Amino acid sequence: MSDPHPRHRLSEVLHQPVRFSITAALAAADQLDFGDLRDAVQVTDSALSKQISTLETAGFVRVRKGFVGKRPRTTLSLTAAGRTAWAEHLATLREIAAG
Amino acid sequence: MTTETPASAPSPDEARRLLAEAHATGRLTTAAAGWPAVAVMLSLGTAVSMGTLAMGLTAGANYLVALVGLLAWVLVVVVFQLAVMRSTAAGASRRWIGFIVALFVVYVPAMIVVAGSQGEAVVATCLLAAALMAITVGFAAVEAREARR
Repeated sequence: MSDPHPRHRLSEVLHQPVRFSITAALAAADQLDFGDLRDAVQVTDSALSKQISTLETAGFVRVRKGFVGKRPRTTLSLTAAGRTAWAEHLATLREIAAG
Repeated sequence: MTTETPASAPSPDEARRLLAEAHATGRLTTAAAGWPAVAVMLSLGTAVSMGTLAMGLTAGANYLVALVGLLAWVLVVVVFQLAVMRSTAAGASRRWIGFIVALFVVYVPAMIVVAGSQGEAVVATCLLAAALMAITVGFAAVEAREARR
């Protein structure tokens, strides 16, 4: 029997376009402010919140809420599981790209 | 954590496009998060280096004026950092700690020298201020290179 197609190793959670961009941005950072991430991904606040919830539920993203002075601030980062899943996802894409 | 996989496989061209998009998004994010760190490093380094120079070459009331000016600038930089540096590029937290440690390794002896200088320890003051400048420029250059990647 031949090896299974690489697509079976792609994560559905990370493959969705907005979540793919969110994870790509977070992978390049120790942590990102919600507004900075929104600007990088170019989506609305509500769309970003929705996709972050999915990533948080999957255990890929950590959300921290705090205050600087009286202003609320939300910072986001990839968990260790998220970084591992992202690395595997990219490795699989490279495998597919190589044909 | 989900184990679902996409129903349809991306083509090799689509996979290449996604990889390029991931790279571009990462670069954009790193650049956006990196330049504020460069600005804060240069500002803090300039303040402590020039403050050291001013305090080491003066005495009496002039020394106190230089000290107050230095503290004012450090306060401005810290407030700026808290207000503007909201995001951190990958590895920047570790590099920032390295910068602060390296700066203080030189800054503590610098403060000891300038405190007893009375404007006389010109060579030591200049060498210590130059060392603070070199540390700042070195770490800022690394951060700028990372932001341009």
